[in-house]
Amino acid sequence: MKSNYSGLWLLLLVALVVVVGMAFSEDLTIGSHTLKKAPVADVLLSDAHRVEVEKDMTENPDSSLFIKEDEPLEVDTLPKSILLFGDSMTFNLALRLAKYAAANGHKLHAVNWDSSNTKIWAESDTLDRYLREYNVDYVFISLGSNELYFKKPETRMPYVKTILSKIGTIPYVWIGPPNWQEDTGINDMLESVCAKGAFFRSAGMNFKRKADKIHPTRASSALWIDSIMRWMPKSRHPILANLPPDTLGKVKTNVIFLEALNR
Amino acid sequence: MNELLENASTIIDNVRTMFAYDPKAPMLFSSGLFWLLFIVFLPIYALLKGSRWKMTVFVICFSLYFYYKSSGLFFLMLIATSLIDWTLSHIIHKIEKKWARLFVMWLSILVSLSILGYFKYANFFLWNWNNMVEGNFQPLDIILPVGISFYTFQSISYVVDVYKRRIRPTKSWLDYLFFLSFFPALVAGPIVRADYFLPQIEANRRASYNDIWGGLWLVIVGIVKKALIADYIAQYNDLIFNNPELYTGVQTLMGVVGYTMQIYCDFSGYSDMAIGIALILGFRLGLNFDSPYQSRNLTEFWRRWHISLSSWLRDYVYIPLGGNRKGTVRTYVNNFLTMLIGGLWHGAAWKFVFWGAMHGVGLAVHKACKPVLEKIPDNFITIPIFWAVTFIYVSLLWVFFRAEDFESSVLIIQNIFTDFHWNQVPQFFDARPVWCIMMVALVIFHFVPQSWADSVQMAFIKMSWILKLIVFMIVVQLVIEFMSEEVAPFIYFQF
Repeated sequence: MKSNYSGLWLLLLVALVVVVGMAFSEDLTIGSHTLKKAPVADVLLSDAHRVEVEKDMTENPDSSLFIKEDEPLEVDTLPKSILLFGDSMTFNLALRLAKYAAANGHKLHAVNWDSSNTKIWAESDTLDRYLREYNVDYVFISLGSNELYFKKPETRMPYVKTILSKIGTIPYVWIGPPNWQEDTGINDMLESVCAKGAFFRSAGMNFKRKADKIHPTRASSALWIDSIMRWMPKSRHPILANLPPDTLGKVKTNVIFLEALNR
Repeated sequence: MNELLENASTIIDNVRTMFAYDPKAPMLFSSGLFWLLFIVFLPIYALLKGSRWKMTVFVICFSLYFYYKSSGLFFLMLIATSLIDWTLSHIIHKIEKKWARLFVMWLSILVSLSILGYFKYANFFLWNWNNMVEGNFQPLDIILPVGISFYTFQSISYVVDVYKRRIRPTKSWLDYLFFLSFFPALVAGPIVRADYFLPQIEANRRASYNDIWGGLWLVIVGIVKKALIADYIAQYNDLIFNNPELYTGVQTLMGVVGYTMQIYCDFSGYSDMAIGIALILGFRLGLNFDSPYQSRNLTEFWRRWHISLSSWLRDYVYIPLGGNRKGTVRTYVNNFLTMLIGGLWHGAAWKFVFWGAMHGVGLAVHKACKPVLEKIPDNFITIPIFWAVTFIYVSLLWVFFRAEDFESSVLIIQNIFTDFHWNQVPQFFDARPVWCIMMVALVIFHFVPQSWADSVQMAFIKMSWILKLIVFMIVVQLVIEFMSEEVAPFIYFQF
């Protein structure tokens, strides 16, 4: 190699070796801060993780939480304290769901965490806090949109499991992401992990999108919730979900907004 | 290490996937994959640089792979476009009759614009047509090849320059393909002009010591602008633009100013990386941004913002339309039309058309007021006023560029003017200290004289190798610390 380039080439090579070396070594802490690692291991070993997860699914007794059941329960007519949480799709869903809640005697609390995904919700104590704070007895989850394109969606399975563990025995509906392009398998993975009748597959539905071509418009999100509520009687744990009358005025929607993280 | 050995087949499979075409994972200059490949590319490039033919073929192959990674088989379309243009440019050059040359030039432009029109604007026009006739619109399943707007403009300028006899067509098709597909500028510019770039291919100049390390410095600056600053401040700006009805006037104003700086850091950061990588290889792409927010009027802004596009529009749209040679009214109309086309170039949506049109109006107003403005002396009162008027106008137009629709844009601007309370300003600073510090630092750096920036670059070039490594490693680690799981695409990638 010509000498002019050798210095630069060596610099890039050393940087690469250091980054890869750090990715596979023990955590390095400076003061109180642990340095983040480049996701080299995640990229290279993602299938191996899947194998581990599958093994864990069969061996871990907790996985009985997700065993599918065949018989749907009767409609639970008690008023519920509902928590709707998830990514940036949540806000528009909450606007319509609040009307259903008002019309059916439920109380809705919503937490919209922009750009969030299953990993963020699994690794933070945010969900635990709101479940506790609102004394929740029914949950809607709107997550998966920011994981549509993950090459190995099965690597997200542990996070989904963790979220469902946090929810525990509280009945829930996982609202699948509103695909704007074909996903790489996140819907199949979510459906396989969720209890039977607890996953609403939104993929395949037609949405009118905002200018970003990703988020359904407010009107389209309202129709989306309408579809979910029509499907509710067939769900694993149906609750009262009568269509709110047109005479129902403006309903106050309690939505908490959390900012996107640098992850 | 044992884990690696045990999972060898998985790793091989993953590496294969990593190098395959993936429209959702284009090869960004800030990605690890690009630098991994660049480490392999660089020594081979250095070895082949002695032979122009070998160097040309090698760089073309790498560029086509670079394009394939994000656009798949569309790299074949790039090859076909270059072949058609190159053939037609030779025909133009050989023909003597002016009308025939004109005909072939328009044929070439028509082919280029038809391809661009189909991929970028077909759904937009169909949507509008169906709205007019109240039909049922079903969008065509069209994938927009990355960077098509950039290389189409390059190819048009090449053919027009050959027609105008400003340049001779390249003897070899490979030289032209090299020009059109040169990977640093391929997917998001700068829009390189043939008369500037083709002589560099012929000269096959070796990169000097200063080029190589100066290029790396530009790459570092670009990474800091894009991966650290733009992506960080974007998080707050997105909150405001996604749900404008939820925020106060102060919060909204900060989001608008934030987006103004974000789009600059995002796009100029990418340009810096592209220019830096080209410089490392011994090629100059020219300046694309020159501290645009220092401008004191809109005309100056467009001389400093996306210079390669604005100068292209000036030379290939504004001047052919008549420029300022056909009277005052025509000058304004030409300005307006040029900016309208510039707006449409940015995207197939009415909001971009409106954004371009309003810039056209602004330029026309500035031209009309110029005789009066020129009489006003520059002093410590007038300079800040002119600067502020320009900055506010540009920032407000960015709202239309970024917001989801026209209604949201109006709501955002309305918020600023009807719900602004000074007492909320300290609260905002308390709530978002890092964001505020970053914005203040950005504004200060933006006004740093170019000579200071050049001095810092020179200091980096003169640093010892080990210090350069430390600087580079710090930036790499900062990127890892701030990295989102899904790397935010460059805003200008979509154009």
